[in-house]
Amino acid sequence: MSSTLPKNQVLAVRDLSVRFYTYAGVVHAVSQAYLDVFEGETVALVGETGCGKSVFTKAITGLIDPPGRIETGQALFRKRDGTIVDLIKLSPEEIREIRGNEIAYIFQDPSSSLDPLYTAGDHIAETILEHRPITKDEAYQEAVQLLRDVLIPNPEVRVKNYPHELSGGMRQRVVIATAISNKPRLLIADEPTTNLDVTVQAQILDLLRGLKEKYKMSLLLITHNLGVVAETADRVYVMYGGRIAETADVNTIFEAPMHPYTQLLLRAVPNPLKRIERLESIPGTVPNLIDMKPGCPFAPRCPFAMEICRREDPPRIDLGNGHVVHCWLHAKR
Amino acid sequence: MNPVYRFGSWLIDKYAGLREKISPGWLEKNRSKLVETKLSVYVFTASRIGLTGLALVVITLFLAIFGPFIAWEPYDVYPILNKPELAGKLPHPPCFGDCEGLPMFGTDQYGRDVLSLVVRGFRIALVMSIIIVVTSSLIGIVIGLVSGYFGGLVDEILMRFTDMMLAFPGLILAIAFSLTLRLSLRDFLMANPTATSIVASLFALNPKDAPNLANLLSVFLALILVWWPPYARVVRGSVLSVKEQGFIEAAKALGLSTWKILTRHIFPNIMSPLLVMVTFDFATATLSSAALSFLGLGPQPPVPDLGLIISQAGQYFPERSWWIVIEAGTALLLISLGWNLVGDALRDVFDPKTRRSIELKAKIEVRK
Repeated sequence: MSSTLPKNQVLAVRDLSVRFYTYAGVVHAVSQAYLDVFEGETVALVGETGCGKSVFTKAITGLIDPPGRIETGQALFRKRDGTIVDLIKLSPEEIREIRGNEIAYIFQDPSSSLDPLYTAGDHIAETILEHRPITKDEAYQEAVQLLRDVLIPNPEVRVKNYPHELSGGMRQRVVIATAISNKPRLLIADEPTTNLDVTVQAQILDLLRGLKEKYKMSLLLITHNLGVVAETADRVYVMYGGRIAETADVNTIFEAPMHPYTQLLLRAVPNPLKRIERLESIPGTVPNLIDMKPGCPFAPRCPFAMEICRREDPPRIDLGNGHVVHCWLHAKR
Repeated sequence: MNPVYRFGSWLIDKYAGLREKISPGWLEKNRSKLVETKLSVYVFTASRIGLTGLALVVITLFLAIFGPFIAWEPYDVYPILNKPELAGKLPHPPCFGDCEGLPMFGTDQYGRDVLSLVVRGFRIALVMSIIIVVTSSLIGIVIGLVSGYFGGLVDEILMRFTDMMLAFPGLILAIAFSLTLRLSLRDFLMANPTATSIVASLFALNPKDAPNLANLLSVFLALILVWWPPYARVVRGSVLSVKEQGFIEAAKALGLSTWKILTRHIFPNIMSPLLVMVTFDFATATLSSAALSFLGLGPQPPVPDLGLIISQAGQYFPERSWWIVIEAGTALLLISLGWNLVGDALRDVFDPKTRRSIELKAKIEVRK
């Protein structure tokens, strides 16, 4: 693969595999995953718990700790100044310069993402000072401005508050303010609304959308909530068992899903307008990723599974218009 | 409200006022930190254990600082050499009224006033324990932080080395170290008069007595060498639990350097168990250094070391030296009891469970 990117593309991940070498065996957390993010778009990464979503994005930002290892892959990223780097090949020091500066990460648990010993302002100023040569006072003034941007009332007071003095939604706003403090080109939000109640979830999503416009960021949203996907995403990647199962723009995914897993996933979303007898679910559980054998990871739960599905990895089938599905059902023979 | 708390709170206010004067705006920025500190002081002073311990620690620290100036007799002049008529009467028991010019609280076998010696002894005991604990905890913190945070091979090597040190009984290893270090320390002090006078002023001893200073140094170097492994283990354990917390991962994701993560996020979060351990260790270190000099490894007469005083009394015990053992023993008891009680109260302050209940009633008074 060449190391160039189309003009409007921010991130291109190809053939990324991450394995964890544990006592129980080798965990194939992510296998041959790929991802494209263009400027100003929101990309959603969807899948059940334990399907490798978080590991995938952490690998991109170099946050995989031993015993995990990135086996293969390439993650081309266009920096602010236009140079293109491969995130996987960068030295720890170089990728540290990018983290929090060009790529920012929001974790799912806002209460544990803040150090209880420091105020909201400390967190934001610390991140600013790490990446930009400005004075402490300027950093704290910027912190107040950022808190205003994430719609925290009374930012001048709140900037001096400790995490325990803030509510859950407020904390998540502080985490977001910290993440956007250096105006990153790419914001990765790992289930940013999971631990919040529904009304606050909606506020946070609105906020993220607004900030994306304001700062001209791209947003990579990791979630298992399909409602969130429908509302915010431009394009969707569905992940299963450490692999990308299907990708398309958001309308195609919801209107014409081709992968059996996507279809079942959509059926499992309750529609409040329809009276239903019982909630649909996908029988079986997420596969054990230890010492995986070739074959489609979804085959054991798939109602359409064929002989070949258990023997060989599914092929990549391009249905046009950016709709790609990895399934033997659609293979032309 | 309790006067000790009022004093503590007054001190904090004065400190805050000073900081505010140096850099305006400091007070506003740190208001909740100040309230938190005052709450901690309140919880500490609300416990009788803490107050008793604090009183003992203040007394022993006072004696450690001013004892050598208060002591009314020089420690290195033996009265028996000037007054041969004392021979046969020593050690002389405490006497009330009919003292024949001898001190009221009894003498040792050289005719020196035991109480005066004990007052000097506080300096040696506390300087020893503080240097031992501070130095070895610093070593332990560095090793524990590095080992816990980086893990893997670094952790394996450092921890196996720590295990090796822990495997020996501490006191016996310290004896071996102190015996091997002694001669080279003596040579070093003989060659460096400045070093000798620094050590001598630290312990408030006569700088001419270099061999004894070398003995003291060898004891505390030996104790430092065997004292750090438990710190390394405790720090490593706390680091392992803190580094799994979300805010460490968040700090990494925000591109903070390893140095900043270690010093700004991990170290402050492991402080409280460490502080409690350090306080308790002041007591243990005092006792251990006294034990070493009791065994004859520390300084030799005439140094007023509490362990040595007790050991010297041994040959006349009990009929002709019980007062020596009681006076020096009480001094050791006061030191270790004080630190232990303070450690206990600190643990209550740092433990959110015990703290919560006292805090509730404190909050209203403190926030005013």
